[in-house]
Amino acid sequence: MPLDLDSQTLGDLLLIRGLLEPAQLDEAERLCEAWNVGLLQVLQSRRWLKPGELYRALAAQYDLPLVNLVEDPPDTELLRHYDSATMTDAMTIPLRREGDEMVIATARPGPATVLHIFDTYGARVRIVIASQLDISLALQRAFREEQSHEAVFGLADTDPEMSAKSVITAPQLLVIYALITLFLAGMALAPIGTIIALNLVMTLFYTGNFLFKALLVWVGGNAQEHSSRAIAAEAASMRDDDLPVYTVLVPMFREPEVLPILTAALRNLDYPLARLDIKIVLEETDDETIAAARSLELEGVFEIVQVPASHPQTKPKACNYALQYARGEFLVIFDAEDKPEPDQLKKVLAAFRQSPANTACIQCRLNYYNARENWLTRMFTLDYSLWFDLMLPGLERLGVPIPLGGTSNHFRMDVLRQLKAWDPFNVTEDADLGIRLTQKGYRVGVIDSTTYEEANVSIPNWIRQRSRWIKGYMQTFLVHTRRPVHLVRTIGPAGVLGFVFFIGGTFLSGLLNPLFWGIFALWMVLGAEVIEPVFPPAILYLSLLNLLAGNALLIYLTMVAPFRRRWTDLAPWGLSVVGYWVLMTIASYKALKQLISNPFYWEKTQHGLSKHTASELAAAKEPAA
Amino acid sequence: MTRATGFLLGWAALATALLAPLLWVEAHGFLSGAVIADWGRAILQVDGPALFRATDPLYPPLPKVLTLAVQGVAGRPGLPTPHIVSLAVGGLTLLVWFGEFRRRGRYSAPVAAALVLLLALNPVFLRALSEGPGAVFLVLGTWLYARSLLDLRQSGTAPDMMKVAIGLLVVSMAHPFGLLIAMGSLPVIVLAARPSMIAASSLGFMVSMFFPAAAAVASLLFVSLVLGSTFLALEPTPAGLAPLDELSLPLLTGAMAVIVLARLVPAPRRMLPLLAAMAGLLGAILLNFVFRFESDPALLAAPMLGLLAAALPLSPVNRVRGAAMTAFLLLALPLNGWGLATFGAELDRRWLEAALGHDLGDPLRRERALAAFLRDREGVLLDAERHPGLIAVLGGTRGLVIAGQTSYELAALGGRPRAGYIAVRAPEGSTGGRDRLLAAQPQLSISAPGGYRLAYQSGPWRVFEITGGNRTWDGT
Repeated sequence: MPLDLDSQTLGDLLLIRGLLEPAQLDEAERLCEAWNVGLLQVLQSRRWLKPGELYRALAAQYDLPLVNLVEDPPDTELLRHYDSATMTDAMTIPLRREGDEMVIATARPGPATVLHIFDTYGARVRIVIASQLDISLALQRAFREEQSHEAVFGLADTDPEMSAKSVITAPQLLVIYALITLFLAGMALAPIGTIIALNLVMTLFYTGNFLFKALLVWVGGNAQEHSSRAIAAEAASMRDDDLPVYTVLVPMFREPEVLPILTAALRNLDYPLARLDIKIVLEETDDETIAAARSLELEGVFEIVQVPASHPQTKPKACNYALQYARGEFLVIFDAEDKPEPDQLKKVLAAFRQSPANTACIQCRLNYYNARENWLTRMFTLDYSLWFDLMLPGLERLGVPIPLGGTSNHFRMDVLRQLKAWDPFNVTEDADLGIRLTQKGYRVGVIDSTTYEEANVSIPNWIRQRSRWIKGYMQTFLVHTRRPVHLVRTIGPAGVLGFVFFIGGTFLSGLLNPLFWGIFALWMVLGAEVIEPVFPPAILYLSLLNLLAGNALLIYLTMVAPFRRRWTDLAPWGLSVVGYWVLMTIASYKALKQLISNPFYWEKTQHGLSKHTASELAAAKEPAA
Repeated sequence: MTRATGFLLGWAALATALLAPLLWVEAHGFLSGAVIADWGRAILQVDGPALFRATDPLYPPLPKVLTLAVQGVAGRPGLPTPHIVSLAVGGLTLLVWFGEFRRRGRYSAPVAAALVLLLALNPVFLRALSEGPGAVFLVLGTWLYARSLLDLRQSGTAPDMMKVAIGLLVVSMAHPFGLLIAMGSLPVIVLAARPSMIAASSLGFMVSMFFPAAAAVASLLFVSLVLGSTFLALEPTPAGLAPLDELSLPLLTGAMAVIVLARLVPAPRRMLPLLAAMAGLLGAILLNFVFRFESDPALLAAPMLGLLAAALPLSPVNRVRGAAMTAFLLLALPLNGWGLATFGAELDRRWLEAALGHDLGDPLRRERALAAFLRDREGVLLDAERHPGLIAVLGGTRGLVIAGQTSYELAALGGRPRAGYIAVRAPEGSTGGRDRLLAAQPQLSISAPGGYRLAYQSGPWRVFEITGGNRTWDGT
C-alpha cells in the first residue's frame, strides 16, 4: 500500500529541512507499508528526530501554530468537561475559549482528527499542534485527583466484596473467633482428643497438598505441548499490518539502573513498535528514575506516566492509574528488568484467537536469566520452572483458577477495565485478579512463551519479596473466601479445592512446617513415647507417609521441573530444596506478621543486584552506543 | 458404556480369566512359599492384637501393603489374598498391553487380543502369577519402565520422566530383584535419553531418574530403623543352579525382544530406549550373580516379558507382522515350558508338573491337620510370624496368644509360659525360619518337661498342654 498524502508531504518536508536522511525516509516508508501506519507513528517509534523537530515539521506541514503546553497550559476547568479516555485516544484536547471560538490542540493532525474535533467541539474551533507528551501531561494534570481516586478506590467502590481494602470482614472474624473458642474449649475438656483432631486435619491437608501438586505436574506436563505448535504457527503467519495497538505497562519504583534492559527488550519484540503504546509508570516522587528515563531520550512510543503520591503506594495502584491512559486493545505488564521472548505478543494474540471467547487473560511463563548465579537463584529457578512450566498449565487444564504471576500477563483491555483492573490494596494483585477473572466467568490461559527476569541473588531480598507474595496470597485467600457459597457457585467444587490447596496451601504449608519439623525432632531426640499420645497409629502412619513419601515427592517434582527447558544441570539441586522451604517458612511468618500490622505495605524487591544484570545492561546499551 | 466402565469391565474379565490357571495349579498342589507367607502375615496384621508389630521386613512394600489392604477389606476370601492382588495386577497388565498393542502398535483388535492371550499363557507369566503380586509387579513395572523410556526419547515431557521413575519405583518396591533392575539400569539409562537432556548434565538426568527409587529405599530403611524391624530378609539360595541356568531362561524369554530390537537398528530413536531397558535387565541378572537377591530363574525371566510387551508395538509395520509376532509368541510357549523344565529351579519344576496336571499333594496338609486340632482350643502360644501357613489355614488368630500379647512376650524371653498350650515347630523343613518360642524354650524340642503334656505331634509340629503354673493369659 503506498503512503498516504499526509505522510508523503511530511516525509518530503523532513527531507527538505534536512531532518531526515533519504535512507531513513526509505526505511520509514517501508515500515509504514509493512505496519500499515502513518509516517508520524513510524517516526515516533524511531529516535531519528527529537520530538520538538518532529512536531515543528508537523505544524509547518499543516500550517498550524505549535504550542508548548508547559509554557501555555490549557484551561483545566474546560478540559475536565470532556471525557479523558476519548481525549487520550484522539490525542486531542481543548485548550481554552477565545471569544466564541475554542482552541483545540492535537498531536495527530489529519482529516480524521478534524472530523473528531468538529463532532466533539463544534465547528467554531481553532486548531493548534502540541506534542503527544505535552497533551498526555496536560491530561494527567487535569484529571489527577479523580484518576488517582479511581486508581485507588475504583474496585473498592464498585465491588467492595472483591477488594482487600478490608483485610478481614466481620463474619470472617466471627468464624475465626468461633474456631479459636472451639479449640480452647476442646483443650479444656479433652486436650488429647483435640490435639489428635487438629493433627488429623493438618495431616490430611499435607497429604492433599502433596497429591494435588503431583496431579498438577502430571496434567500440566502433558498439557504443555498440546496447543503450543498451533499458537506458534499462527503467530509466525501474522502480518504486521493487521496487528492491534498493544499497551505495555512498565511499573517501576526506584530502579533506574535496569530500565535500558527493558527498553532494549521491547525494541527487540517482533511487533511493530508504532503499534505499541508503552507506558513507563513511575511514582511522581521517584525523581531519580524519572530523570533516568528522560535521559534515555526514548522513542515517542515510550510515554512516562507519573503517578500522584497517595496511599497505598503499590504497583497495582500505579498500574490502575496508567491504565486510564492506555490506548491499546490488549495490555501487558512487564517489570523493568524483563526480557520477553521476541514473538510473545504475537503468540498471545494467536492464543486469544484460538481460545474460547471468554478468555480474558493469557499468562506467559516466567523464568530467570541468572539461574546459575548462586544456590538461591538455582532454587528460585527450580521453583519458577515448577510453577510456570508445569503447575499453571495443570491448573488451566483442570479448570482451577489461575493466580497470575507478577508480569507477562496479557489482558483484553475491555475486560480489564470492566473489572476495575487490579486491587491496589492487595500486594499480589495479579494472583487476586486471576481468581477474580475466573469468578466473573472469564478464562485465563497459559502459553509457551517465556519472559526472562532477574532472580533474586540475596537471601534477605528474597525473603522480603517472598513475604510480600505470601502476604498477598493470604489477602487473596481472605478476599475470595468471604462468600464461600458464591465461590463454589462461580468456580465449582474442583476449583475451590484447587484454590484452597494452591493459594491456601502455599502459605499454610509454610506456617505449619516448623510445627511438624519440631515434632519430628522431638521424636528423633526423645523417642516415640513423647509423640505417641497425640499420634495414634493411623495418624502416625499417615504422617510418616507425608514425611517420607510426600517430601520425597515434592523434592522429585522440583527435580523434574527444569527438564522441560533441558536445564538438567539444575535437577540435582532439587535435593537441597528443604533449605528453600526453611526460607519460605521465614517469609511466611514475616508475611503473617505484616498482614496483621501493615497489610498494604509493599515490600520492595531490589533489582539489579545480579552480576548478570550488569552484563545484560551493558548488552542493552550496546546498540544505542 | 463409558470408557471408564469399559476399562473396569475389561480389567475384571481379564483378572477373572487369570483365575483359572491359578486355581488349576493350586488344585494340583502348587502354592508358593511367598504367597503363603504374605497371606499369613496379612491375616496377622489385620486380625492380630492391636499391639502386634511385625518384626518381619517391610520390604518389598508394594505387594505387602496391597495384600494387607485387600485382607482388611475382603476378610476371609475363598482364595489366598495375595492371589487376589496378583489377579488384579495381572489383569491390569494384560489390559494395558492390549491397549498399547492397539494404539502404539497399530495391531488389529484380533491380533492384539491373540498377542495378549499368548503372553498370558506364557509359562513364565503364569509362573510369576503363581508366585504372588511381587513377581507380577516386576512384569508390569518393567513394561512401564521400558515403555516410558520410549516416550521419554520421543517427547521428553515431565510425565514421561515421571513414568520412567514410577517404573523403576514399582520394580524396586515390588521385589528384591527389582532393586537390582534399578541398579542394573543405572549405567545404561543414558542410552535412552534425548541428546538435549544430557547435553547440560548427564548426572542431573540420572539423579532425577533414580531419585524416586533411591528415596523409597532410604525411606524404608528409615522406617525399619524406627520400627525396629529388618529391612530385607533374603531366602537362602538353593545350591545346584549354575549361572548359565539363571541366564538361559531370561534370554530365552527375551529372545523375541532381541529380534524386534535388531529390526529397529535403522531407527535409533526407538531402538536405543529398548536397548537401554534390555541392557538394564541383563545388568540386573549379572548383579544377581553377586548379590543373590533371587535364585529362581523363572522370576529372573519374568521382567523380560514386560520388555517383550514393550517391544512388540515397535515392530515395523508390514503385512506379515501380526502373523509373525503371533507365531513367535506361540512358539515361545513350548520353548519357555522347556526352559522352565531345563533351567528352572525346583519350585519351577513343581509348578510345571502341577500345570501339566500332576498332583503334588497339599502343601499345607500338616498345617491343616494342626489347625483341626487347634480349632476349638484357647490360649495357644504360637510364633505366628514364623508360621504364616498355619495362620493362613486357620484364617485368623482366634484362640492364639501371639506377639504383642504379654504372655507371648514373656514366653519369648524365656519366661515360664502362661497359657493353655504352646505350639512349636522343629527346625527341620521349616518354611518360615526358626521358631522363636522354641528358641526361648529349647527343652520343648527334645521332650515334654515337667508342667507340660505333649498333646499333639505330627511331622515337625508339637503342641504341649501347659499343665502346671499360672494358666491365665491375655484375653482370658
